[in-house]
Amino acid sequence: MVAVARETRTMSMKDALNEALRIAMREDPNVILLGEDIAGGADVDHLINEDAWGGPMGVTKNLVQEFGRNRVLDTPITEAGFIGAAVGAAATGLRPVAELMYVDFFGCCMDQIFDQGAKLRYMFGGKAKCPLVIRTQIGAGVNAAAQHSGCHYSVFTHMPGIKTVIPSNPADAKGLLLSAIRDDDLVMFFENKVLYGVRGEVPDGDEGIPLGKGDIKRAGDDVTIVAISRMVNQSLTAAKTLSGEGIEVEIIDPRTLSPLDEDMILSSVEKTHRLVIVDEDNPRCSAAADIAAMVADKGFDLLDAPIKMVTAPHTPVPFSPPLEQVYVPSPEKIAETVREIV
Amino acid sequence: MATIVKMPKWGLTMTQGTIVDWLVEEGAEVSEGDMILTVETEKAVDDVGAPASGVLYKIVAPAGSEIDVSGPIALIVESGESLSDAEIDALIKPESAAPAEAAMPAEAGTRRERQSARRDAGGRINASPAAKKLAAALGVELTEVEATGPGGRITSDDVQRAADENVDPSPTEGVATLASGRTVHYLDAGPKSNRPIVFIHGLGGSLSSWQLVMGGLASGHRMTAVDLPGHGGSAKSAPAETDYSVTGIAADVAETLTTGNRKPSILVGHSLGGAVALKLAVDHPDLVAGLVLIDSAALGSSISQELLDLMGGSSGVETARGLLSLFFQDQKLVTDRGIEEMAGFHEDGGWAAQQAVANAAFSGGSQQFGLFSELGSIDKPVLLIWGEHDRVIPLSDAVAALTVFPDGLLKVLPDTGHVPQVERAEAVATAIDRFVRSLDR
Amino acid sequence: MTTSLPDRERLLDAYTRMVEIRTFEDAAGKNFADGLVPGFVHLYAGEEAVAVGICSHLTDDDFITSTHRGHGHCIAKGVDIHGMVAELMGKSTGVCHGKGGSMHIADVDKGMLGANGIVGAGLPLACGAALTAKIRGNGAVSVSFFGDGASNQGTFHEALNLAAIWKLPVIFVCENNGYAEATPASYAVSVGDIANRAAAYDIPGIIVDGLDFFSVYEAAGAAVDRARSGQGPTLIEAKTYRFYGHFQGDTITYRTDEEVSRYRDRDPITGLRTFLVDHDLATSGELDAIDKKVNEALARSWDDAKAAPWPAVEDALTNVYVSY
Repeated sequence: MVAVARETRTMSMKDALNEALRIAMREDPNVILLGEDIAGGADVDHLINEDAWGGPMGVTKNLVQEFGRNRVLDTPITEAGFIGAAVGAAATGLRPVAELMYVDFFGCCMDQIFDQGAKLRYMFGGKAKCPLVIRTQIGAGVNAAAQHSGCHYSVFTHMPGIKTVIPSNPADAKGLLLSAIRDDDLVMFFENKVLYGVRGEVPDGDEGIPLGKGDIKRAGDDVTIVAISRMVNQSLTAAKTLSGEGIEVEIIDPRTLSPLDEDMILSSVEKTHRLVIVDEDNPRCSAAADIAAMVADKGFDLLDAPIKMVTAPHTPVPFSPPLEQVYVPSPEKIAETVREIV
Repeated sequence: MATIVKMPKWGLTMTQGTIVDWLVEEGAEVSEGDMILTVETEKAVDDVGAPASGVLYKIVAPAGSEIDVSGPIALIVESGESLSDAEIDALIKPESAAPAEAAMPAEAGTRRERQSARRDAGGRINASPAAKKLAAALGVELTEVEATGPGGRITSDDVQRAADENVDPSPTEGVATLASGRTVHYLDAGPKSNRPIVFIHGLGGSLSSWQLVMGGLASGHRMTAVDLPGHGGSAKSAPAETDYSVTGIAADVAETLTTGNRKPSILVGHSLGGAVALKLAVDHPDLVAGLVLIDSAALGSSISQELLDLMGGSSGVETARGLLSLFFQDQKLVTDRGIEEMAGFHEDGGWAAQQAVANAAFSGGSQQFGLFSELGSIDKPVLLIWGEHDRVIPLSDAVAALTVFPDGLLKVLPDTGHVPQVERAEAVATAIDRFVRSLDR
Repeated sequence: MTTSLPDRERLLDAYTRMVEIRTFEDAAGKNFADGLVPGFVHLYAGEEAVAVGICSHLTDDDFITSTHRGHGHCIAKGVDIHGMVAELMGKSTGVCHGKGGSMHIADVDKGMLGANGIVGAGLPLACGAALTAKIRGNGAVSVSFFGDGASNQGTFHEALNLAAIWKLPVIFVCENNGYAEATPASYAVSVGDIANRAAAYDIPGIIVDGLDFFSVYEAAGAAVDRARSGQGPTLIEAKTYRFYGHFQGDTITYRTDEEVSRYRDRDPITGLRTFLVDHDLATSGELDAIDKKVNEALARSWDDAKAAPWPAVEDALTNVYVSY
């Protein structure tokens, strides 16, 4: 395969997401955005085509200026209402990108996601589709406490009819969001709030990254680490320490959990014979547990050590800074777990 | 510029040679390929050609000297060139030892001290799933493996290490007895490697035709060369009771290869041996990691009539001479030693067997392997090596094969006939080495 | 009155649709009892005037969302009855190839976004379909049918508010048949008339007699006109009655025989039939002929569905995603 070098620019994940939205809206008039305060200041006289916030985290900043309030729709605080409307709009021909401000709010609108959007194609015998992207914020790290800090992508990965996408850096965020918007299925797109400000090289242009393809963030022969979202960065930090001890870990970022790049994970374990999964989500019935089960099933004979999971504890996210700090898997804990199995 | 004449390596087992006589004197003009000295080894006496044209400036090793393989024995310079003694010393002194290899990072599984594997109360050995599977594949007894895993667990690295410690890198001949009772003669050599190489010679040949190439690869690859049924040191059972078609031959080779629990191998097939390799790739893809096809049969239909005429004749020295003349582009390679070796393999029923192979393969005057329609199903890396002037199987077959193996590579050797592994052994060894290593990337 | 009476042809068409629904439901009930229909079915008989009165104003470009009691909406919106029968039986020839069943019959090409097993789920979806129409400016409208029970769900309130602030071309049609399952609306709904809840969202709330085709037809015409002309949503409460129980097998101990027969005496189909004959728009003979034709066609559909093949088991794994 010929790798085509593309020009890149350094930007934050927030700006990379913004650029992907702008590209997608320019290329397809059916793409609309809706969510709470994604522009902000609707109906305020001095903000006709100007945003007040551009999204609570600024991801949708300045889009209303270019595309107007007919395509950048501020919704009331009405998750079931506007997520359901997004499903209905997707089923009738638009390609909405809805913003669920925090994933923790899924309880307010889950029926519209998993019972309506995710199932309609199946229930209707293939005669409908739901090209909807729901962007949402995940992750602990800013002391936002239990109702604004969860990950919960495992819940959605569990459900057929939903694709789950979880980028770990700005370049992946842009390419994956473009593919998600162009995809004909319902995609849940999880943005870790701690990564919004993290900067990285982002390719120019409008190329998407295919859903279902993982990425090897670091090559190594000794232990495979499958790390999700921010845990990729935590694992890269751990990898430096471990390398000094002669342990070379291979870090796989699956990038999408549904579909999951099983081949990439199994190929790596075939090489290293050892697997650690690092996941900020809660451990029971989780993505980590799912990947562990997959490898135990399909790669049993590849293993030289038990599969280890480094995850958050089975608790809600605590508020107090020292408590939150132990909640999130740390590079030290990751390194310690790797050492246990080599 | 000076060229160093070095002691040649004629076979895998050759480590040094004795200079019997110099055929030209210092100061004489020589042309590349002119025979300039005679060398004797444990197995043979033969002449050595000049590696370059010019003047034989200095004989470093006089007659009677015993010189290690690749050791300097003379210097050839361009006409009019002269060298000081210091320059000569610099040229012939042993190459300084390669700098010590950079310390390799410790392999996983070797960080802990080796210890006895832990057993539970019932005596069950603590070994990982991967270790158990590999031990079964390599025929390693877990009771004899030391553990480096946490808590005394045997890992797959431990099993591999135990197996590797049992691999003898020096050349070892052996005879495998198949279920049919037939015997297959083979030669194992080289250290353990990720992708072992298996050499399959052609009609009328033997594993000795690979000795030069195997010598060039011996430091980095595990290799096996087989004598085909009816050839070399393998059984020469009567045609009436033996399947000498490529199907039968391939089945015997497959059985030989599966007795050793080896990893999937790179099959290097020459001429009819190429047809055998292709048949194995179709019928036993699990045994095959890649194919190197040297002037191979089964890729086209035409075959030299001269070959068929010779195979239709009687055995003996004249037929062997005729065959070798047909095979080689450089007729100086048609040596008495080679003729005698080939004629020797005609004895004890060998000729009848080889005629049976030829009859099955080339009935009606063309190649009849019936493999064309199956080649497309072969999903293995392919390297084609061909002598530009092959008079037995034309170069056009190799070119046509690239449409069947679109990702295949073709290396054409100039001024070479049907047997590049002898005529251009170094180039063939280098090409095979690069090909095998490329598969690891 | 802003909407003039429908012409004869449209009235005969409405009559035919209502007879089709009634015949379909009577047969579905019978065949469920006979074990031919797996799962459960909720019958629409008695409420025909609502679905037909509303959908008479719609085209295939307009969308509706429906409920667990959705057969009538499907037929009124033009979904293939033959395929609906096969779908009830779970056969491969069903409109959803046997993957949806009674509660999920849909045909997006006909503007039918699905019956729905979740009470109140269709209202936001209809807002979404209306949003598509509004953004595209194509003049299409959407209708969400739901029951008195759904008016207590949060989605009802969220959808009405959203449609109101965005002036979406949507008509919310509450089919108040008096009972959410076995619980009377008089107990469960805080207001006597659900239409009054429209006031909370500053949109029109209209009460119609759901047993009278003309009452529904007239209000629907006004609401659809209002939506198409960009004036936003309307809530229509149709007071109606289901002749059967909540589901087939319901013992219906929560209703009196007297109540049921009172409503059956006001059968909407009989009402329309009487009107057509009294106004010399059709003879009894002509209407009998329609009844007969519908009966025969439906009998053929059941025969065909019985003979149709089951879905291939591999189909259980398809249509989850467009691509995966």
